[in-house]
Amino acid sequence: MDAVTYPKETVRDFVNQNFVGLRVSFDTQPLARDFNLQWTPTLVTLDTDGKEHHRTVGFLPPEEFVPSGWLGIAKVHFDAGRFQEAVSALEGILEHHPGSDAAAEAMFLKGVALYKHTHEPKHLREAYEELQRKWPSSEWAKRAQPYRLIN
Amino acid sequence: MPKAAQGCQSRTRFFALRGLGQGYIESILKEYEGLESRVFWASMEESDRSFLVRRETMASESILWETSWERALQRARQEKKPVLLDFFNPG
Repeated sequence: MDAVTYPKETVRDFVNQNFVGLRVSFDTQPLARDFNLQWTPTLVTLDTDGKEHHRTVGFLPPEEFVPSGWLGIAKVHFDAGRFQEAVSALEGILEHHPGSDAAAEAMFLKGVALYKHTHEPKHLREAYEELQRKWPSSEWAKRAQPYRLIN
Repeated sequence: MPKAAQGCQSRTRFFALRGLGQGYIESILKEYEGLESRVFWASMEESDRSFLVRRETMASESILWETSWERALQRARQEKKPVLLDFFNPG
């Protein structure tokens, strides 16, 4: 991460503008124990109370780091019931990083967030259709399969 | 408003545009006698102001990592941002 990802200007600006970065060695206690740290690098997105909402284990190249970060931000909003803010972050992934590994999960979570915000089931069906069309082999397309039955 | 105080406001906006939150700026300002920021800027010598700008510019060329859990959460609340916790292997 130090050699490839963090020196990138896009990554640096993304972190500095959207996060408070906290970097600790893998053996820092009690954090390593509290977060059940088993491997490095591990990146964890936390809310302002220190509660975990998103985690990645292993190296992330710059083009995957930023969308994964946005996914973490979206999950912080989603878990707090701020569905419009979550959708905004997820749409950013879908618009700017459609080829990233985070995109399919972003599509799934966008459908769920829109449903929870509006209570209209059509958003789940639309998420299923988009996943089938753009990411048919992703695990998120499989998870959305029940939504094909929604009219 | 004194001219230097106006400069403080624009510098604060400059820092914010570079991704540095108000809380971080305030923490730097507190290192200098704990003066309230506008009074601080108005009372500083130009050389000191330049030093801070250089320091901020250097800092913004890399990710601003906190190393303290308490400090990170404090900043997160002040700046209303999530925390990105990176466990790394320094070896």
